Amino acid sequence: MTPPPDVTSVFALRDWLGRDDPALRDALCAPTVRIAVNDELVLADAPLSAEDEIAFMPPVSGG
Amino acid sequence: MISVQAEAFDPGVEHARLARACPQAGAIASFVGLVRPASAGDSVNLLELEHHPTFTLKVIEAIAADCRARFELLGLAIVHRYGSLEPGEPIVFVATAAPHRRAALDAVDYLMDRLKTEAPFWKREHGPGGARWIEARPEDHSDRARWEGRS
Repeated sequence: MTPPPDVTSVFALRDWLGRDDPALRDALCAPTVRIAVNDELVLADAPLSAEDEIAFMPPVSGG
Repeated sequence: MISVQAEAFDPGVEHARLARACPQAGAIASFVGLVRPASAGDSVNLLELEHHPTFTLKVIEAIAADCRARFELLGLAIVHRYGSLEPGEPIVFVATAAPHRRAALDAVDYLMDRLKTEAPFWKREHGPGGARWIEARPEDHSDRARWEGRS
């Protein structure tokens, strides 16, 4: 998935992914959702660059 | 050895593998978690586990590193399955080898408490009434908290 070049943060990515789907946007923005960029947990203001892999993760069930 | 895998495993084989890898051990402790046949009063036909292809292993490796730093161990093994599992199937195996039993037993307890609360797995139980997502129980978090501030 390739977002437009002005999507340079997780904040912007959530808005872009949810641009046509408010329910998806709300789900991505839920405070319990954790965000990982390239397998490192980050906050929503984290910068993004090309080739980054971003994961939005709901609360874990545990092992 | 740490493995996150879809394939079924034999806890006895994993136990023997760790024992072979740690010939200096005076103690090996282990734990096997099984898929429960019932949950909150409802029977469970199938447990579905989702994982993240790289992040899940990374978190488990970090937990294992903390464990090695905390306890005097000669080795440890963690095997965790994902995918669709039936009641009674082994879902997680943890074993530790140490010179003496206390470190081995405590390290298994520690690993399980951290895995139960932190390992990135998402579980869905399928029963006669449909499917539901599972979250860690409050007891899991209080068990995990026992290790805070202890050396």
